[in-house]
Amino acid sequence: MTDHRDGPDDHEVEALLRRHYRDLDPGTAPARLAANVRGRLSGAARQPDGAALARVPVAPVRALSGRARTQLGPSLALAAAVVLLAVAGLAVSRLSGQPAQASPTTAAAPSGTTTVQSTAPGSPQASPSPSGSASPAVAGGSAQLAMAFADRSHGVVVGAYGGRGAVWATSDEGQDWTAVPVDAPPLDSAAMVGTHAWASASCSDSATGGCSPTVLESLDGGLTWTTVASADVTSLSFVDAQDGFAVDASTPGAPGLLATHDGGKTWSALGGAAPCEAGFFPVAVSFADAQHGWAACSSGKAALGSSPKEFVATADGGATWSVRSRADGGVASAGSLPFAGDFRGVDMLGSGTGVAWLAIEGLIRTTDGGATWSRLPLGSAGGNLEWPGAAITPDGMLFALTVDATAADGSATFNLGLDNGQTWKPYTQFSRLPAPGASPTPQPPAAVQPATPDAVAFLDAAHGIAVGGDATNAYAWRTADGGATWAVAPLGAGAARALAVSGQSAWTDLLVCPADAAPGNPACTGSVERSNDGGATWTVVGHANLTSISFGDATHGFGVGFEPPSTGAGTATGGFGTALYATSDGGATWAPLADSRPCGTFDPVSVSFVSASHGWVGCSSVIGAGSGLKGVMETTDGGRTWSWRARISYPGGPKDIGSITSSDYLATIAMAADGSGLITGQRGSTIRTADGGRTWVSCPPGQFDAFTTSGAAILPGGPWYVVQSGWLNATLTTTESRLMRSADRGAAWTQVGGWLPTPPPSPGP
Amino acid sequence: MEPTQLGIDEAAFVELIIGRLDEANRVATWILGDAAAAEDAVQDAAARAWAGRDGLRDADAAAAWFGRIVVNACRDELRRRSSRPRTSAAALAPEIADPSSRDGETADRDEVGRAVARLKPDFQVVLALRFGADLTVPAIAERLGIPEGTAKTRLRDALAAARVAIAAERASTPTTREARA
Repeated sequence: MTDHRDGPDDHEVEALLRRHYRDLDPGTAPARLAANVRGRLSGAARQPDGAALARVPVAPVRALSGRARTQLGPSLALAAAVVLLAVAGLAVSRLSGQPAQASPTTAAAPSGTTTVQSTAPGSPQASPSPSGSASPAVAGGSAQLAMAFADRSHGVVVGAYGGRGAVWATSDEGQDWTAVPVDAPPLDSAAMVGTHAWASASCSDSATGGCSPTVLESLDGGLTWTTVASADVTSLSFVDAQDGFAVDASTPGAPGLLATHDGGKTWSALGGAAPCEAGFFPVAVSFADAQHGWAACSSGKAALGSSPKEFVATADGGATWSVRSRADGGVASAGSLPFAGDFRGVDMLGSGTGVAWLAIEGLIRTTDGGATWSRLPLGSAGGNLEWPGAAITPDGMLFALTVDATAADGSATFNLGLDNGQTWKPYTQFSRLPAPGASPTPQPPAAVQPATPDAVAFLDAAHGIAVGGDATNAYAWRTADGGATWAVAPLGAGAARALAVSGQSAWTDLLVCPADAAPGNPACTGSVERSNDGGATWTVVGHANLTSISFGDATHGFGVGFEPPSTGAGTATGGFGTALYATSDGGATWAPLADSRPCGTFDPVSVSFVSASHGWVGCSSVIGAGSGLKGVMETTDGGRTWSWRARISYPGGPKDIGSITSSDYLATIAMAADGSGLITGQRGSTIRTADGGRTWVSCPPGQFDAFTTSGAAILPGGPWYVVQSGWLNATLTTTESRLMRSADRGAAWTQVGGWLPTPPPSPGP
Repeated sequence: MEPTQLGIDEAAFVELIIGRLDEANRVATWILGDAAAAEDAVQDAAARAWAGRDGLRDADAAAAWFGRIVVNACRDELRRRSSRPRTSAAALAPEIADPSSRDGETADRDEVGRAVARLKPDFQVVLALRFGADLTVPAIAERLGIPEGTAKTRLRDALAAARVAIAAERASTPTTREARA
């Protein structure tokens, strides 16, 4: 058979292979395999005496494979060279233009802190005692990937590339990421409050030496980092710029909780009672404020289908703790914690809503402070996913990282959770190992953006109009049945962002811009168009460059456009340079108001007038790291004088007024004569007021999980409307637009009809 | 919101897995060439199946699905052996990550075993399914969740690679081969 030719022929190869595999055939599996599987999968549930938990590792050393698999997910690839995406570049310029680091007061909401547990001994033989499990091999379970979001726009992913630490930062809800190499060991934990971010390298994965535990901070949303401490901590959780919490990673097997009160420079034991019961130790921690915190506790006996664990809470800053739920496979179990899967991390809000992520079970969510949990459907059917990180934003938005252990390139995926995590949209792919010469930055999926409406208005309860467009063409949608069905027709080449109605007239502005200019840019030329037949036909009545229009009556209108180049007031202050315009002849001629920039260092963005004299302007600030700083002003004399009603400002800027969120960028303001109204954000958020714009509250989270600019309108004495676009359909595959209506001044919203019709995509410019 | 509790009968799920263990263990052994590693992989696969139990529709689909997870678990193990960066893998399981110790473990294996172990994971998998489990090409395609044409191509490429690898093994170990001949 084995002659002396150089190689075997095909038949010989096949014969050799068959013999090889025949020799290997183990026949019937050893009984211990069935016993182990049975015990790990089901024994806990049905044999609470624990007998079934007596596990005999098949190969004591190799039983680490469970950890090894966890290890697969981790190393997110990071660019050796920083390459800024186009939009990220904008973010950078905004950030660097900020005069001072954002103070925590600009985002005082609970931090969207996420953590990744890294030191829990996961092998069956691992002992919870420090001496028994401190070996590098056992401590080598660092997930090397973590995520934190301060709000729904601003977040960081931390990990490693080429053996060194690395960060990705986003300021637009994960649509664009800036890759930042960090001079630190691989990072395994992150926290973020406002634009203040922290990351830590606990070195628990390092068996090769040369790894020094490091805590870093960034004051600019994650773009630049400086080392602040050499503490060996993980599972960072900060509640403000000074006060944070973490798991002590210096003693694998029996870690405790640490606290800092100087922004991470020094750490000391939290004090108070041990957070976990005997037999458990904390592996992840999340504090919503200085008093209210939660800890995920492991037994250190995690293995395959069984992983005793408990979830504890404190309401007094860690002085005392109470068990919220426990899964130990026996009669002591309480709540609905999954038994399988060791804790990886947890992120909680002060309301008691939060998420935790586990090794095998994936993402689980609680709305009652951890007493009961439900599993979220993110990859639970594939069987090959890891969940190295997740985050919940103060307004309930969910994000999660997943790593497909079987993907050829080991890529990680950034997912957006919709409907409280019941549906998920895989969004950004992070390639673990960039192809030679390929761009090392994450690649958002290429998508053709269909035409979507940007603004909406109703002439009466039946007749409504929306205008918007795609990259090259503007369209108008019309409905005659209250929004149930729509017809769409081209408006022309260009963009239409503004829409106003008064009586039976409607106005929009068709903007034609250079290829690299956004609508509203001074380089654009705009034609004010008027329709007297509900949007079916439009006639040019004047020329102005407006991105927002509102008419108080048939002749008196107001708009937002770029200021005349001669003044330069806005650009001098670093703002957008927008200004207020007015017409008193039905839109034929437009002139800047005498006080065209009433918002000071803020920029007017959207106007809403209920009469020729009474109106509001929504203002936005580009200062402050794009934190969504905004304000509302009111006039009762046709725009001659304005008064602030609400404002959230930047450090060193004008003082805050009233109550309004800094989350999301202001897109549209729509007000009613009684002083109620709403503001929509560019990321789909909606807030409402009932007192003339002084105080604003969010509409229910989960309802407006759209991700593009949404328009708003109020029919005088009638319903409120919002038109929004995003991945709204069940399959989350294409961009859809829909009309939402509220009959109770914004408290409850229902969708009207189906998706708005989409014109065929325009060919790219 | 649905509670965490399982959507299917736990006991039925466990028995379904138990009933597939022999076949799973054989496939895993063929792919990995190592009984202990195979048992670990099967348990790993069982855990993955547990994690995904909500996706089960019926017993038939579940059996095929479990079979695929076993293969995936084995392929992961092969990838760990062959391609994990030394630094992190060594921290976890030095005996897996260190090729020299791996070679030491298998030093007494015949040249075919060594040759197969040098192939890329996808090739090892397809060879084990074809010549170990004796699956047809369509069955291999179904097991791997790939088109039949892809399975056929992969098998052909794997055979060609095995042929080269076996020849290389023979060239590098003449004394062993001649002693045996």
